Amino acid sequence: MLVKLQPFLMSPLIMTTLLLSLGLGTTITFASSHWLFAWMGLEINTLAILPLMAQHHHPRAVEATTKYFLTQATAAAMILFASTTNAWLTGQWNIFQLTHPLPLTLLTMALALKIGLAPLHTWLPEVLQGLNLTTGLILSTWQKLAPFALLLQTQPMNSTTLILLGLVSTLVGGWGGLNQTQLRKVLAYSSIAHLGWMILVLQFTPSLTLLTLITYFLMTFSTFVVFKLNNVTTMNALSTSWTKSPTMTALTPLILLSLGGLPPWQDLYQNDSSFKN
Amino acid sequence: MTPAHFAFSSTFTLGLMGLTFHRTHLLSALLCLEGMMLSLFIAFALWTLQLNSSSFSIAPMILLAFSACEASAGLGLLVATARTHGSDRMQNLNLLQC
Repeated sequence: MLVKLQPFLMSPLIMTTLLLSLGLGTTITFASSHWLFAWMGLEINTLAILPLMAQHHHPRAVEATTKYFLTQATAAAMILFASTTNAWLTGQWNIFQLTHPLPLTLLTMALALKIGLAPLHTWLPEVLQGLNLTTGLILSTWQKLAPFALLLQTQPMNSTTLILLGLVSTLVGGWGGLNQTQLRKVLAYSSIAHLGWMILVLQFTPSLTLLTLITYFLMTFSTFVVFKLNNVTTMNALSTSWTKSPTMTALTPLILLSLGGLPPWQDLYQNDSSFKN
Repeated sequence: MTPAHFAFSSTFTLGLMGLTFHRTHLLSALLCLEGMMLSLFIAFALWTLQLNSSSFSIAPMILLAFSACEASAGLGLLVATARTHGSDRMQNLNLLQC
């Protein structure tokens, strides 16, 4: 199949509109206290990134976009259903007052589907595999922010659901990335494992969760940028990239080890203090 | 649980079950999504009517507008998938699993 991959397939006007809507969706979700507006922000976010994902009419990109659309639309509908059920049961539309246990569990599962936590994670490696590295960077950093803000705001205390999700996520993320040769799939499993850690400490110390989230974003950003600069997507290509840019290849293991949480770097202290809590 | 609450809850759950377990055609998945959104629309409208809350009466319309946008994006993806994969059967979407 003849596919031309052009870097600027989209006109700058449309690209600007899409990127601004991407920012607007997350901002609306951040600023809202009503469930309808939070849902509107999530929908704007999803609808804005779909054309960015499918801008190259490659079969893999289109397939990844379709899978992403189906999961995100289902999760958004489930979030709205949970809040509507809460409104019918308690009469409250406020985000902070989602108190009934049934909608709370439903909402936690929906948000887990949205950010890709472990029993509901299977879409994330496939979607990330079908995208180019720039869109993958947006998907694994910026797109996690809005659902995570909702998860932080609802704050379920003493929830076994969250602990189970976190434990299964760390296990699946650790084991799933072992036998992969594709870098984007490894990054997807790394995202699952890190989000599992964040979910585990969420109900004990939310500030530590935020710190871990920021560190994870920083590491993932630098990893994606390094891969983008070297233009690599497999382990094989990464191991031969020293011929092209030796300094970058020498620096890459530092970022990867930092993402894995080895001693001189930040991530270890966070995991350590999560255990202490 | 009032009868109206039971009605829209079971409609939504049936739509969700259809979306999760009946994975043959992409079009049927989109129809299930639309059914879920319509049950939410009914829930919003009935909530507004029962509580006589005039300030909330714009909410069902907002919901309907956004779900129409979502459905049109889904139909666009249906066309794109049919062009790249040959049909709208879900089992053709297997390029990315390995």
